Amino acid sequence: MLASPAMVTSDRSCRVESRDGDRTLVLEGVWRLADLRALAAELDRLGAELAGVAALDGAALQAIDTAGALLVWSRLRAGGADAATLALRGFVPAHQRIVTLVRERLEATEDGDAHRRPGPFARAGHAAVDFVGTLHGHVALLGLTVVEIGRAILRPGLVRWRELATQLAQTGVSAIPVVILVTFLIGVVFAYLLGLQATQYGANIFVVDGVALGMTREFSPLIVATIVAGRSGAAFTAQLGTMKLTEEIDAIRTLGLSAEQVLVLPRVLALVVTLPLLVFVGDLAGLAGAMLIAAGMLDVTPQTFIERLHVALDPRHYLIGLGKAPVFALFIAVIGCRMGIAVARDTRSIGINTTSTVVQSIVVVILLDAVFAVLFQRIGW
Amino acid sequence: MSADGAADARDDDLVVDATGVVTRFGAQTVHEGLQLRIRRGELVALIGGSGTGKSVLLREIIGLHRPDAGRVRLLGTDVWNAPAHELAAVRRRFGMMFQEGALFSSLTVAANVAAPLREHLDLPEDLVDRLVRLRLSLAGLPPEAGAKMPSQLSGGMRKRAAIARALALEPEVLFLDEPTSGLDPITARAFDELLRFLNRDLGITVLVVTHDLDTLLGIARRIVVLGRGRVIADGDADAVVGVDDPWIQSYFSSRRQLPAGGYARTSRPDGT
Repeated sequence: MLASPAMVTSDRSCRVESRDGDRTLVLEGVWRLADLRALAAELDRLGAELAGVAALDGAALQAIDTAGALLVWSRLRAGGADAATLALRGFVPAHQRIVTLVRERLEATEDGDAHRRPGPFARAGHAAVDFVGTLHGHVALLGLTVVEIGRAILRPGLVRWRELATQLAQTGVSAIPVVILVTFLIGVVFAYLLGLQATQYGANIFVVDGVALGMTREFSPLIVATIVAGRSGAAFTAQLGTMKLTEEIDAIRTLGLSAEQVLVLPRVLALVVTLPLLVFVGDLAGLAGAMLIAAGMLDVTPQTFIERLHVALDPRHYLIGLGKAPVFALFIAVIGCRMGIAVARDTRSIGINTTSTVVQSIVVVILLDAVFAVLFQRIGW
Repeated sequence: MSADGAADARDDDLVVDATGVVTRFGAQTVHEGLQLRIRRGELVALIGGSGTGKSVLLREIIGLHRPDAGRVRLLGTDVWNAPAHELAAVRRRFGMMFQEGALFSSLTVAANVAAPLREHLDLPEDLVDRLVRLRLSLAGLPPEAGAKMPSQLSGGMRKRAAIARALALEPEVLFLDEPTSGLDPITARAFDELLRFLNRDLGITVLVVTHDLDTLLGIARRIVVLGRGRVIADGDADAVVGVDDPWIQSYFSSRRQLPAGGYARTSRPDGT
């Protein structure tokens, strides 16, 4: 687009002349969007000459589009000419239509400072209101879900068994491989790190104590809950969000059904049932990983490992681990469903809400885990 | 290109030139050697029963769906055999309005309209802002609509915003996929007026896929009917209504009960 000066003047040009007693802006050549920057420079070259221009001559124009016309009018106006009363001379009909059209709309292109970016205080305020609104929505759905669970206990016929079975399969069975893989590797790493320290004191056997307690009580529930938050929590949001966009949720409500009962309850129940089971699978896989390292690196045979496990692992530890899982599950499922239902009318908010679900779920799981740790410590478990 | 110098001169006037287009989806054949030519300055409506491949034809013309056979020339460029840079050049010369608007939901309306300008041209910001406001005005939107997000707009306004974006780069051709579907009759008629205005006053060639009889009879000077894999009727409203085809007859029969004077004249008060 960097044309030589000679080319610029041959392609398009403008000058102010005195014709028929009027100061006239004469346009020549091609005035199109593609060359708008160069055209703007042409007009700016005229500078103060534009003041007092009373006519526009387009006899030598080869082409003009709305962008070109807009440029001419806006510069004329900025230069002090009165666009509304300017005479048009010599334009061919097609050009005249475009030039007149843009003149009629010139007012609408003025900056009405319609949008101003909100300041930091306003944004902080909006963020706070949004946060409280989200929290309020979560609490409300949690309450509704508990009510639905109560109703389902009184009348088991209300439970959508087929949907529940589908959700059990999706959130539970198909999550088993990834749970096994991740917890197995964590068990390996955990036992390896403990083993490095323990061998220095010849305390190899105590690696079993550490791994068993750490894995079953803390790591397995936390890691499995994180996996499920990323897997099923996000899936809930995406599923319900899409249903919200396609107005399926509205249709469910219109048919006199409760969306909480039809959609939320099966998901919550499924997750509350499957998460402890997955944690149990995680316990086993983690211990298996540790057992592998113990045999290879610490001279602790699997048989010794299991014998030591009986002594070292008090049942309350893994029961606490398993017991935390349904609580995590309840929160993950409610957050996932709620963020899905909260999807707005555009597709973008599905993505935003899905991300938000994962972040919220993981934060809540870790928060709850900390609360549990303090609670159990207080009561001496 | 030098080989068909004679064809080039003719192509200059032909905006769309599709010949022998064949389209199949699995065992189902949608187009069987379809032919369609559109000249500069025309306002053409494309109609046909569902499954006759109206939208697919549109997508084939603008280079989104490859036909199984045949040749499609758009503004003189062979869409499916041109090198990438030629295709990119053609892409700047037409505008497309998708059925649901397809506005970028993460951007404001103004940013949506500015997107093509920012992408393809290096212009000062104040000029971009002015151009955006002019496009919004041409599409019939108030200036304050620019600051809104697409999700905050009504269906009709969203379609107008989509037209404003399609107009951003001063297109020579505008393609629209069912612009009036889902709109109330009053908004739909205002939309027809907008198309007529873009065609007549800005000289933009318009191809509109529609089911709206009022659009057809009100503004389209040429109606192309797809059926059985090809064009089964092509001409002005009176010519198309006269074609002896069961689908066409049942399509237009809903207008038979209109008061005397006929639809064609009453819908075109200014006689264009």
